[in-house]
Amino acid sequence: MRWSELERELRELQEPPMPPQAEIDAAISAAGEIFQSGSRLSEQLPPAGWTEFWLDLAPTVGAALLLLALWFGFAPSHDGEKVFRKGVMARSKKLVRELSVLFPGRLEAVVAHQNDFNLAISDQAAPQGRQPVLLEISRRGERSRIVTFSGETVELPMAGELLPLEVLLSGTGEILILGPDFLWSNLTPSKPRGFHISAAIMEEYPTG
Amino acid sequence: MSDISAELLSDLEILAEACRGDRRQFEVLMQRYFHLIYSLAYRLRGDRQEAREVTRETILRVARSIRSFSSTARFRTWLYRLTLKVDFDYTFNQRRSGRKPSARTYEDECPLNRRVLLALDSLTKPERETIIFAVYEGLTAAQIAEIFGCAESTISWRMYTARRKVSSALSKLGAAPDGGPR
Repeated sequence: MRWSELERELRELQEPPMPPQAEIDAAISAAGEIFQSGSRLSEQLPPAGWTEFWLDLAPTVGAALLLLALWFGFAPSHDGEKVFRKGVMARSKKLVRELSVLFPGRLEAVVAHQNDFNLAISDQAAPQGRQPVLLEISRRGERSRIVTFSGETVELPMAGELLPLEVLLSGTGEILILGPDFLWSNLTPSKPRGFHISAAIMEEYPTG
Repeated sequence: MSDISAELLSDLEILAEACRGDRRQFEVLMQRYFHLIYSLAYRLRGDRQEAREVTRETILRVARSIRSFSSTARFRTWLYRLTLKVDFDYTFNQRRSGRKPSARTYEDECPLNRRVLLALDSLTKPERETIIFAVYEGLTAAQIAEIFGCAESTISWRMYTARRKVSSALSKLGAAPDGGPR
C-alpha cells in the first residue's frame, strides 16, 4: 500500500465527540485553582532571611505569648475556621470540591509544598462520608499545605526527608497526626521536632 | 482583561501572561489547547474515557509546571511531551494495579474507527506515537524527533516499520466499510 493511500485510510479515524463543555470547564477551573494556589503559596512564604530572624526570636516571643495566654485564660481554638485565615479555608474547600467532581471518591490528598503541587488519587472510590481535614505544616521556612481525609497517610518532603504523616479524626472532632516518632493533637498542640502544625476539619465541605 | 481582548491575544502573549501567574490567561490557554490534548490522548489510548482522564491529568500537570516552561521550547512541543508522559504513567499505573485490559475490540466505535484503531494496536508504543504525530498532527520527522529527543533517523526508521505493520494489519482486517477509502 502506498504511503499516501495508507495515510488517507488512517485519517478516517474520526475524533470522538468532545466531553461536555461543563466537564471541560470544571477540569480547567480545577487546574486554574492549582495554578493560582502555586503563586499564592510562594507569595505567602517569608524570605529565608526573615525566617532565620524569627526563629532566633521564637523562644522569647513564644514565652511572652504563653504568659499572655495564661493571663487571659486563653485556650487553643478548636474551631477550624479560626485556625486558618478564612480565605485559605474557602479556597481549599473550593479546590477539593472541584477535584472531587473530577475524581469522585478517589481523592486521597492534595499536597502543596513550596511551589510544588501533588495530587494523590486512588484507583478505587472510597466509601462516602469522609471528612476532609486541612493541615499546614512548617519548619525553618519550608511550608506544606495539605488537604486529606481521616485514615490517609501523606508523605511530605520536609527538611530533606520524607515525613510520613497519618491523619486521624476522632468521633469527638479531635484531629490526631501520627508522625514517625510523634503524635500531635489539635486539642493539645505542640511543636514535635520543631514542626509547627495547624489543622482544621473542613466541616462545610459536603464529604468526598 | 475582558474576554474580547483575551480572544485577540496570540498564544504567545497569553502564555507569557500565564507564566507570570495570571490565572485567567492560564484558563484561556487551556481552553484553546484542550482539543489538541484530548484528541492526542484519544489516539494514544484508543478509549474515550481513558482519553478524558489523561487529558485532565495533563491539564493539572500543566498547571503545576507551566512556570518552568522555557520560552526557547515551543509550547506545543512541550504540551505533546507532557501528554506523552501522562499517557506513559497512565499505562504504567494500569499495569501496576492489574487493570490493563487484554486485547481491545472497540465494540463501541463505528466500523471505520474500529478498523483503524485495531490496525494501530499492531504497533509498538513508540511506533504508534510516531505515526500519530506524523499522520494526525502533520509533523515532520525532524519535529517528531524534537519531541522524543532522539535522532531524525530513528524516527524515519520507526515510520518505516510502522507503515509496514499498519499496512499489513489493514489488509488483514479487510476492505474499509462503506464510506471508507477504497
